[in-house]
Amino acid sequence: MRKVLTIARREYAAMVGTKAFLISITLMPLLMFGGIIVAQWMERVPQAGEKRIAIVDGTGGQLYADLEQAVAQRNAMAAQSGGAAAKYVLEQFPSPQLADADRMTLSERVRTEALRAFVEIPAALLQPDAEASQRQVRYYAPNAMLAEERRWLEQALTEAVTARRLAALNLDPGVVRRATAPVAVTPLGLFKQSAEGKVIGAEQRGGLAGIFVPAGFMMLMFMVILLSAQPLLEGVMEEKNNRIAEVLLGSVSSFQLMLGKLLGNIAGSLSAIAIYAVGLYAAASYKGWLDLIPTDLVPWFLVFQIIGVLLFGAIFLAVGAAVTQAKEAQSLLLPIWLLIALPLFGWLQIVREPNGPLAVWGSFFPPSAPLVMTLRLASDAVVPPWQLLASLALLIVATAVGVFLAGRVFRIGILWQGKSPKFTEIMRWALRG
Amino acid sequence: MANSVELHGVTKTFGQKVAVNSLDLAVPERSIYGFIGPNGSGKTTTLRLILRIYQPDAGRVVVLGGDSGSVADDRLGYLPEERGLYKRMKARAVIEYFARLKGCYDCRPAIDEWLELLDATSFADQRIDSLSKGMAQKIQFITAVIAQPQLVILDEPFAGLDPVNLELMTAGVRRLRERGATIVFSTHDMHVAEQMCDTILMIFEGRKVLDGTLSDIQRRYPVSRIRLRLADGQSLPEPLPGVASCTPHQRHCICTLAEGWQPQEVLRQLTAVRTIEHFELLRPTLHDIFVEIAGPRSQEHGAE
Repeated sequence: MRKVLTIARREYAAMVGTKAFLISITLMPLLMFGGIIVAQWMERVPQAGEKRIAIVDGTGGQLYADLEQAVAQRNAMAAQSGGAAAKYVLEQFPSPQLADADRMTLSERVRTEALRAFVEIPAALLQPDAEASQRQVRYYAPNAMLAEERRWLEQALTEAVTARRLAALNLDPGVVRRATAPVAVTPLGLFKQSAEGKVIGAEQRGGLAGIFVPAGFMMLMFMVILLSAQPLLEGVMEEKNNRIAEVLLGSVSSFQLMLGKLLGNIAGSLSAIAIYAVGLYAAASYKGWLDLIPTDLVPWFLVFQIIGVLLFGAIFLAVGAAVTQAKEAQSLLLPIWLLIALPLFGWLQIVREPNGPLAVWGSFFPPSAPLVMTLRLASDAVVPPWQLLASLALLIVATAVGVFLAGRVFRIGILWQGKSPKFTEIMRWALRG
Repeated sequence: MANSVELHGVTKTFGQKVAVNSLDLAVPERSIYGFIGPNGSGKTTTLRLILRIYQPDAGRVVVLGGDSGSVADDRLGYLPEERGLYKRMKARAVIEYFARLKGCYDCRPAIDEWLELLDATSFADQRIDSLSKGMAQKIQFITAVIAQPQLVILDEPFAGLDPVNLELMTAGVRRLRERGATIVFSTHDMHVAEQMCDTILMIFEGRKVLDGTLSDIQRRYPVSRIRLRLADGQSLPEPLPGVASCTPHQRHCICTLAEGWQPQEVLRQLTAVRTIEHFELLRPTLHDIFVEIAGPRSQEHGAE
């Protein structure tokens, strides 16, 4: 056992005490959440200049006048909120209808960026009885589908046209607005009892928190599995290629070696979690979000995390031992990555229906169980205890079998030199020993 | 005297290739035993069989009295050919790590002693990947012997060392023996083998072609060359019966005997016609024997 601990200690130092660990532990959240952060940040960056849109108004200037007003309002609002967004400027096309030659000219202007887009408003838009195809407003731009201006225009035109239709029916727009005011359904958590027996009121699941807290826990687990499995693979390949393995196996059995490596790695993964936990705690208390963190989840999270690292760590060790070149390792690992990442494809559905069929079956499929159970437990739903226990039991059994089979591959592979074995051969090692 | 290692009719094949072919050998306890042979002749495979990294396809491997041990054995120390060290660790940390894995938990004094002995103290706190090949070789040697193994297996321990380091390293090996260890090593440096080994085994294409002490081996190979010096102003008669060829070497001549001739017959003939100042029988060096066995001619022969 002392030898196993010696190995664990070195593995821990080799994993945690490197620049690569520090770099990846900082880069990983950046890579995963960086997109969101950058997008938010970009919105605040002042956009210089203006966005000019040409309007071809078939309604004889009625709607154009409405749009002018809406634009003035919008620009004033944008200026108030910090002036980050670009100003919109409208220009009216002299004639109410376009020939193809005009469309060509306008398109050219968009291409040279003199215009952002041009819009054709048909005369029939204000006639409620006209056919839908004749009432179609056309928005021409290179990125028409995603353009923010198109969405704004849709809203502004809807309001303008609604107001005009109401006026035509002699209805007071104010009355109609009150009559059709939407009803809000506020998302709230459940009532809980505190340790002292006091009933704690329902906290408001502040919109996105109900989604992002489970997702955050899942991503944390995913990152830590990533972070700990990769060094195992690299470590065992170094030992194999540098013949260190032969010296090691002259001192300890392959089982002891593997055990030591896994233990060292679990310790390393716990360190990574500790670092993230401290960071998260600091960020949450700074933002006043401490209440949002489900602390009662932490023990379960750690249990599933440790087993997850054990299961995937063993598989990575076996792969590292079986191959001789990094390239071959990557191709063998591709399906395993997919298995690990499987819950990432369905996470939104699982958060939405934490006791739905996808969530339940995901909990009973061991490779995805750690991530899926974390999602379910972090959401507010009550996971039936039998499901929790069954998922855990299945996962433990699968991990034991996985570690055992990986151990066989590891034992044969680590001393295997020369040509890399085929996949079928690796499976034979695993099954026959 | 007991044997530390015994191989009885051991054969090991990889696919079609027979790496070791019904090999018998015995390494006496507390001796230095050298494997010599050209590249690819089966030296490393044999060492790995002794280490039990490989299991033989046929035959029996007995190590330190047992023939069914596992690879993990604290009584053995092993130095693989080159490499074998963690590149990103510091030298001293690597040594300590391997010592601990062999069950030697308090070996700082021993490490310092070995570092001193091999003149490696100055770079003991550097990372392995910053060391030269010779430096790394010394560190690797220490990792193999630090836990005082009874049997030390060294695969090409002297390859690529400069004369100073070679001297240090051979002194290290001798010291191990003084402390009671048995040393088995492979080399293709014949000179080192000649100087160091009590017993030499030569493998060629997986088969044993020679073994025994150096004098045993030399006795088996008859003297085929003589070195002689004639009095000033004299030169060898031509032709000289019994001599196939002569090359001048400083003030001497080195003559290769024709087949079937004894040196004494040549000497008798020569004394009749010349004044001889120096006459010496040149025992075949291991190098000569090695080349004779493994040279191009015999390889052609082997291929037939």
